[in-house]
Amino acid sequence: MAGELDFESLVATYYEPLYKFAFSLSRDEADACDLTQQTFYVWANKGHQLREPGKVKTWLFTTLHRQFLESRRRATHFPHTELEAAEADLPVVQPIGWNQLDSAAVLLALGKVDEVFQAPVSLFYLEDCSYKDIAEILAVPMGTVKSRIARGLGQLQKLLADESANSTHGEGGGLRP
Amino acid sequence: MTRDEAKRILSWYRPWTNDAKDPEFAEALALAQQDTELGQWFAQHCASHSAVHAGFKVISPPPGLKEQIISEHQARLRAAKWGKPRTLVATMAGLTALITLSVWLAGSFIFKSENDFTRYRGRMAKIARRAYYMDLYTNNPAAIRTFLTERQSISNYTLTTALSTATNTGCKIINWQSNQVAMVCFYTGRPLAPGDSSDLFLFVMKRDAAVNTPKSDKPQFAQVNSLATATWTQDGLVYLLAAPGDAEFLKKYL
Repeated sequence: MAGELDFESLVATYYEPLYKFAFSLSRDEADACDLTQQTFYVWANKGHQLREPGKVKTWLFTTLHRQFLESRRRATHFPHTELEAAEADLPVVQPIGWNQLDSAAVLLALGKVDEVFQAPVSLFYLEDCSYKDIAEILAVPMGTVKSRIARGLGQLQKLLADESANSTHGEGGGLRP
Repeated sequence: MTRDEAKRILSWYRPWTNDAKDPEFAEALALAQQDTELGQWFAQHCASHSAVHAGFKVISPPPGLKEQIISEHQARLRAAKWGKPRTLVATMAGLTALITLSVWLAGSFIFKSENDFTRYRGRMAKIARRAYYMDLYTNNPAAIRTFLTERQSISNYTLTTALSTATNTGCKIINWQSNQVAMVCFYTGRPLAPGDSSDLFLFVMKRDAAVNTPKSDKPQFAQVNSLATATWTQDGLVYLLAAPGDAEFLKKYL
């Protein structure tokens, strides 16, 4: 498989979304670069084991996520929250009236969301990742992935709303009206 | 479909994807267009998520990341391509070198060391120190040459001027590594240990009987325990002169 796919084309196609995912998880440029590079390194060594060419994208994202979790486990033993596999509805919160958010503010807020929800939320906002893709990338059932996205988005929206309120009251912040 | 059911469905709607074409959302989207309240909620939903999405979208990799990934991959490929054969070659070369070294060491120890001039010198020095008996006891140099000639030993040696005038005490034929060595003995006039009659010894052997023999006719000095030795080569013969004492003493006879 690795031999069939041109490595350079693969990098050209996926390095940017992979980097975005890595950066949204690590919120550090160097770590994101390392994760992206390591992902392609793993592909170069193990990509030939992939039988379905259509799974390349999810394979790469899965690999990057695993690399991230591995690095985090080495850094700190964060608790892993088991969630029920039942599908959950997204919280129907009242949309907040912002038109544009600062990237740093979004990532700062994402960093405050529970660890287990961060990857699903990142993938939710990254382009072209269907819910099915997200479930495959995170290797969890669709119901679990939706549950995690729902909870993660709930936390994120609350954090952004709080931040927006603080910003409105002249306490600074990263939100732009 | 009720408004709440439509909201629940549309809450998963992402405007930056192809969800608009997904049949799952079709009915709810249609309802949002008809229901003003639902429509307003949906518009705000899209705006909120789009704003967050924009926050993710502006993340961009640093310049050169793609090139770095590709170049490192190419470097690994080159290393793999050349590394394996090189490793093999290096291993083979190492093994060859090890075998060669082992053979050389074995050869040195078994053959060369036995045949080495250093061993020859040591052996002759022992003979000189122990003052073995001589085959012929005489102070006549001509008698010594005749004795050696009759026994097909080396007798065509050349003596230095000083040795030519030194007092002979006899000679002995020694067998060393299947080669004959002519031992010509002298007395220098120094006090001797009890039972000794000689204190200067000249050993002569064919040069090719040993390896690492001196190449020059200029004497090379070496101390072997209590004996001073001088060695040189001349006309296909290797000479070893030994005497108790130091090199300065030997130089009197060279």
